[in-house]
Amino acid sequence: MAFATIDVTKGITGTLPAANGGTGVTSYTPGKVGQVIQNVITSGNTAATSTSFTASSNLVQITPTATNSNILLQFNFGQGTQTNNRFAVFKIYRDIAGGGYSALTNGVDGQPSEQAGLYKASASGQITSPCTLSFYDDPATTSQCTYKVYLALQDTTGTVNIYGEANNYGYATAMEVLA
Amino acid sequence: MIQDLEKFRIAVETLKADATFSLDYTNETEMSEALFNTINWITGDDNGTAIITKTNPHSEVTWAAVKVEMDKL
Repeated sequence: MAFATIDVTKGITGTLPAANGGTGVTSYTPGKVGQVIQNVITSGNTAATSTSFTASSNLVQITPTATNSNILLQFNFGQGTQTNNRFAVFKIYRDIAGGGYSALTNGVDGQPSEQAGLYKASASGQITSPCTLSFYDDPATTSQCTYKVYLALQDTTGTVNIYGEANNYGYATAMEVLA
Repeated sequence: MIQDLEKFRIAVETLKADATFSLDYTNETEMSEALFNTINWITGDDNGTAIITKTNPHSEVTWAAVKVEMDKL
């Protein structure tokens, strides 16, 4: 069978309408995802008994290719508490090139944190649930960025946990979005 | 996960009311002296972030004393 060829640089104009299977647009902007890094958190659990935020082992590292790139973060993990009427709160901290960790700020109240969806109300045992944190960061650097989940108890005394063990692994994902 | 972690926390606070800590662990199911020796003790707060030390700052909170208190619960 003979195949005809069409030189698409000549003689083609207009836009294929959506009704005819086209997109209705004359051009498009290529996708801007530069890279995606995912870290499966198998390194274990962290328990905390303080209202001050402490580090967990739930982290992901990414090195932006341009200073005007943004980083879309998503952390998925199991969390829980053994204490009645208590729940965990979480923050994402960032370290740039080993300079030290600081909490990401949301530009609204300066103290962004996420509370877990469940707290324990029974007299014994413990309760666990999944938790997801997302954040769109603007690190303005091409140095390595390490993003880590910190956790704390929401109030007074108690025990809260973030998990990264068998059957309860966490997932930390960082996506570079190019400008 | 550690099943007696809440007992451990209550025992620690019985010995020293304001003692707080964080603990990294993997497959352990109960507290032990080995785990006790890895605790990150929280000694202060820096703008919401815990100040931690591996050196136990609470002389009254020993593993032996904590175990005694845990056994009472």
